[in-house]
Amino acid sequence: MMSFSKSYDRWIGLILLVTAGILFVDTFTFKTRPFVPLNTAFWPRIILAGMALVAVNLIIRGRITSEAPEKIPKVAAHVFLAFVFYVAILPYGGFFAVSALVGGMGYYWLSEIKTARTAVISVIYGVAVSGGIYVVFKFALKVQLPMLGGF
Amino acid sequence: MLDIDGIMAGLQIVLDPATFILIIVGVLIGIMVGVIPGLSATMAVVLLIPFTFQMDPVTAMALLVVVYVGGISGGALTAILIRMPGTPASVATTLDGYPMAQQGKAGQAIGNAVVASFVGTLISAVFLISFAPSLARFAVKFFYPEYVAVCLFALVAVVSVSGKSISRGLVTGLLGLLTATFGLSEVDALQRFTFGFPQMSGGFGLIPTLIGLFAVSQIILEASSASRRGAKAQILTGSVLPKWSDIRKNGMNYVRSGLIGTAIGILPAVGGAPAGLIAYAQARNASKTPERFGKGAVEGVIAAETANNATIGGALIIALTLGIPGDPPTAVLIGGLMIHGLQPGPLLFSQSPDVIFAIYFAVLFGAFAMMVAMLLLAKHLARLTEIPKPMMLPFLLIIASAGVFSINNRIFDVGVMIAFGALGYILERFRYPLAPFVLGMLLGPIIEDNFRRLVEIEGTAISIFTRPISVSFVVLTLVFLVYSLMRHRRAISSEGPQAPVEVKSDS
Repeated sequence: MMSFSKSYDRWIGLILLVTAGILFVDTFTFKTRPFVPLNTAFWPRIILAGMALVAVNLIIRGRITSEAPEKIPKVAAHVFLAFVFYVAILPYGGFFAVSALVGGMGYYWLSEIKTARTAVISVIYGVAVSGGIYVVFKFALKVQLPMLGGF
Repeated sequence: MLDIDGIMAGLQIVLDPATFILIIVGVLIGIMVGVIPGLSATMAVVLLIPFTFQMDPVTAMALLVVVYVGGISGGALTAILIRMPGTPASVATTLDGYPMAQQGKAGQAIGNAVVASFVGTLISAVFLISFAPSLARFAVKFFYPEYVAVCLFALVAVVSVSGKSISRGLVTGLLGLLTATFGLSEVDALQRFTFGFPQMSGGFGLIPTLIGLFAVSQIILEASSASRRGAKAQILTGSVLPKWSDIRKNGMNYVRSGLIGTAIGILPAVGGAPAGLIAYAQARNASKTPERFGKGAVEGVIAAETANNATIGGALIIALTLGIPGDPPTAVLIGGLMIHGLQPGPLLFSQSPDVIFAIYFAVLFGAFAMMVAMLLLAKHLARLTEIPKPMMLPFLLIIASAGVFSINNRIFDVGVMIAFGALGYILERFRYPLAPFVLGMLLGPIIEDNFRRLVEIEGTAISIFTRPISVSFVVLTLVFLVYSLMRHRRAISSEGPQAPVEVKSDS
């Protein structure tokens, strides 16, 4: 039997099983209407039971194909955290300012050569991209985007 | 009977100068996104949806459809010039397209690929126009049992053919079904899995989820890869206008590949990539000089491109008549229809024939505009492959965020997009297919609603097994399931722990 560390399918199975268990318990908190033959929890419970079965299958079998998974590089986690940071400050900083900041920082970080010139281009890029998209959404599409200081 | 009024209404909408310009712009956007490696037709369509909010539904759908046509077609350019399919649908085009480019025949390869894309779209459009109305008339007879059976069949079909393992397809399919249960239950308007958060009462929106799965996951993937530069393309030499002799000699190749592509397009979530590969294999089998395939045979390029574009019409047949997406781009198109208050399915044909005919004409005009644009601008479009990532990725994130926010004016949706982006990235890295997730999310509510209403009315679900259409689909589902499991087991026993086929959909 393969160890957990070599078998990512087994880990996924375990995560699925725990998730299915937690959500299954939560289905007992759903409100129900009288005289309805199949209540609100009926369908989610079927799905969760299916998930649990598949999860057990994954845990028992371990890695289910011989092909190796692609490792998740640390940098992917950094990119994700940057996205979370973007979403978190968006309501307070407003779309234009926050997008210009994150866009500019993204440009600088992704650039292979990092010089003072790259930094200047990053600032111009961030402002131009954020401003361009802001103008299109706000004035052409009449979409209200988050404003500076919350909304 | 020919619906002259519907045809005229659809034609009038598409020929309206503003719509016509939008179609051309949409085709160009689709081609540009298709040309850039890593960006797919699905991403092009899903990112364009927020731009359609101010449009009337018919114009919006025409725009989204032509973006789809352009997106699938644009991938050929990258496949030929840098041996990297711009979209997964163009994977078979690399086999002979790139060797042709290496031999200095990039122009000939692109010209033939473009004409083949046009012919493929045209063949499938003929089938779409001919068969969709009949299928819609047939589908009007569908009641709750039929919808449950058809959706179950679609789901099982997708799970069976997506990725290298049925278990992995099942995992993502179930996750998609589960995701759709969060929020308000449509049958009794009661909340589920909201965990006390009022924002969760509406559940996870389809568009934020899809943008997350297909666009944000790709941004994370590209941003975290080692290469930061755009790709270096082969030099595009020679005229891109194909020779008449190439077209004349490949008459049967066009027809065969077009039919293969259309048929595969009808199957849920199989998509353009396998269609291109199957048509390529058939063209090689039918060729008098099969040894030339893989070394720069123009027939290979024609077969692959005709078939992958022919999936468009096939996928639209099922999407429009039954509301079942044939592949991820059509899943997004269905999402677009629903956002504009239109419900895909047989009633759309009787209630909004103008939308249907506008979609027909959009496919036809879009294919023609794509051919003209790609033949005229091929040399300029080729340079898009060199766009550096620092320019592209932050732009995509910002435009995706603005688009998702604009749906409901909620930051919560942007958060959902990012969360599903991370999920999509992890699933792709671990080789779990995304197509079943999308299908599960779309089909889950249809299965649940119809099943619960059926039991509410009849007190039992037995009619699923007694009505002829629904029982036929139940049998088909079982046959498909047993066949897939047997094939899977045979492959495991003969080749070790590997499944038989990998069918990557156009995600």
